[in-house]
Amino acid sequence: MIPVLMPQVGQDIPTGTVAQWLKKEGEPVRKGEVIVIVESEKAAFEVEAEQDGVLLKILHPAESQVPVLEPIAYIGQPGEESEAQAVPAWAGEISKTPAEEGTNNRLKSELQAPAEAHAANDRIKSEPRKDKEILASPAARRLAREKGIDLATVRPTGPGGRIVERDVLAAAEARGAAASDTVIPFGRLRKELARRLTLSKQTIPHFYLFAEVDMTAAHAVRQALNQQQGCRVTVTDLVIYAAAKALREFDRMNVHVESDRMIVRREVNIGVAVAVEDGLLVPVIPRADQKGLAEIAEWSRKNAEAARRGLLEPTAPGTFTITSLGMHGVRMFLPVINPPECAILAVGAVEPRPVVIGEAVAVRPMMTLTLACDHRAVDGVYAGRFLNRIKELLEKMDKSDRSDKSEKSD
Amino acid sequence: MVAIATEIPTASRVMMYREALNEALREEMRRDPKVFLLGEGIAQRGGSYKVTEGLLEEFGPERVLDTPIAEASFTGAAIGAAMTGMRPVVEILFIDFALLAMDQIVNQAAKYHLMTGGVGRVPLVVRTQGGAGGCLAAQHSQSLEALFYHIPGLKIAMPSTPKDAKGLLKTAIRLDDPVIFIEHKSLYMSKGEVPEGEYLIEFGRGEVKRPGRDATLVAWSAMVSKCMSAAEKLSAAGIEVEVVDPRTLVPLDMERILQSVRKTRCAIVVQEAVRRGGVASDIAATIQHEAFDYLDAPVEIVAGRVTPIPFSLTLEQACVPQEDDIVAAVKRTMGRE
Repeated sequence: MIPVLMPQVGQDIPTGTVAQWLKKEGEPVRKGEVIVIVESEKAAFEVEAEQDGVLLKILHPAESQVPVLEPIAYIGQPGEESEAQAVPAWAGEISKTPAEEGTNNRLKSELQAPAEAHAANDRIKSEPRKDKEILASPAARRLAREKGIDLATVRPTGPGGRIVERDVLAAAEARGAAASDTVIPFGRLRKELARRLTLSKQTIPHFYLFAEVDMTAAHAVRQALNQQQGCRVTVTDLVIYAAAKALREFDRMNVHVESDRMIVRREVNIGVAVAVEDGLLVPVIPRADQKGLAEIAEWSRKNAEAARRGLLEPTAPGTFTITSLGMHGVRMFLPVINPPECAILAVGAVEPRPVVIGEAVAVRPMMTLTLACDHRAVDGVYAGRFLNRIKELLEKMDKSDRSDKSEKSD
Repeated sequence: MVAIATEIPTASRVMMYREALNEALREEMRRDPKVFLLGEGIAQRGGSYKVTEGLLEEFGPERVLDTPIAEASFTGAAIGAAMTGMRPVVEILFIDFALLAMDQIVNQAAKYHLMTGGVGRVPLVVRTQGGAGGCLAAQHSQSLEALFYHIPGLKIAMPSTPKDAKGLLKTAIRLDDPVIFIEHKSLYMSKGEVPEGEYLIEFGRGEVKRPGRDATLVAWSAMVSKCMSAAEKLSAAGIEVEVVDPRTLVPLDMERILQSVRKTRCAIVVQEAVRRGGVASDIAATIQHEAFDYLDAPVEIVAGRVTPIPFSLTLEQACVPQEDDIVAAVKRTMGRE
């Protein structure tokens, strides 16, 4: 008999959630067969059986949170003693399947044994019920859906132990929301975002630098590239390209910061923030400094699409992040550093603005870049030179930047 | 089409249900010479329930006709007259006797408009009365509205108050389609406010007879007053029910019923007729379909027992819904037993 463990699906991820059991207890499983789907904050993973046998015991039903590397089930030979006894006490209550403890059985036992029924009621009051079958009226279900209330946490007062609308209202009010307000609980992604961004703002002393970039040259390069079949370079791609080049020169910007040290990363892996449903993801373009514009554009497009469809595959740890609201008409904004990186670059809209060139005023396509830096790791002069280098790379783009493998001499 | 004025609240007086019906007939006969009445004992005797009292004197024997005891014949005669443009009002003394005229009503009156490609009309009103009324036994106590409700082409009114009785009957007479106008024998002597002057009540427009927030009672005809007294009792227990009276079953003001259910989250449909195959089942089905996400409980039906009505008064009362049955059903639905 071997345990099935909650997989470790990423660094800094202490628990996983059982999403769905594909096998029932007692069902035969083959080595390599997917038996359960688990979720981390950001993605779902399939867990395979490591040997042939029978799924002896499920320790954690769907929706349970389990620390990584803890057993969630046992696989063995039929008749083998399951280690159910060895399961932590807290797992016992919630591991009962609906089949073992169906609603009908519960109702029946309430009729037959009033004392037990009271005990059952007490349980309902004191902790969330895990029964799959929850008796709730259609009106209660609709309201719970609208207010994002888990019916398992609602105390029923309707006929036959049914949750009725007033029970959901009471639960909503108990949570501090007025009856007319809508409660939207944070999903996994939102929770993770909240955690990381709070960490960032609470622990990282941010400072900000601004640069106005004349995009005339970069635009010309972009237009020329976009003439080519299947090539679609965005303004953000131009900035990724320039920033990656600058990072190779300014390696103290390409670091991971810890509390008392920083690690200069050899690879320049640029994350690009992508808005997805209920949050944002930062898929990474690995070794962006070694990629040409067209290749970067292709990576950007594929990454964004994968992120939106929830199909991101982990690539490399990001070392620098770029975030753009330019396409939404935002001129400039102050971004939040994505830890453990030491800086993030915000890209504003390219728009015609009057600029002074020599003694004259001209109208040029201008863009504002905002660099947010972790002052623990980097200082203003160095960061300023870095930002100016990005500006320079963009303003001096030329034909050589159009080649597929960009190895511009520098 | 008849232009229907909305109900305008005016000065009113208290009158009996049967007097209100009499007034409706009188006003419509004065207004339109095509309106005439026929039925058993309606002229010289003034009707078994006195609804047509005094009409022979005012309108003469050509417009108020006593007929033989032959429902199929005089209903058929009335349908023929209606086809030629007259507006007959037939009285069938008991709805139980309407079964004799079913072929005329169902196969002729209800079909004619459609089968003539919309050319022919049957502006007929069949007035009749049903329900249990105190020891009239199995053949004189039935609630048979479902038989007519089942037939496409018929309109059905079942007024619960003198005001509704008058307003609906006047409208029924002016409509160009056959109307089965079902009165209730226990309501003829009931009294209520009736507005002064001319008013009509549109078919398909129900009325909230009592507003409430906790549960919706849907009832028509005599069951409305049973619901109203049940509502009083429930109110004393802190439960405020809303009583919705659709007033006409065809067309049915489902919107008003649904509006109420969406507010209260609970519905109890009350009918005097036997439970099986009744109008209540149809209304309940529509409620659950149209307002499913608003329901806190299954739609309850309080209805007559599936049995012929016994002669014994005690047994009769056991067979049709009583106030206490309604009170119990509301409490059961709300989980307040």
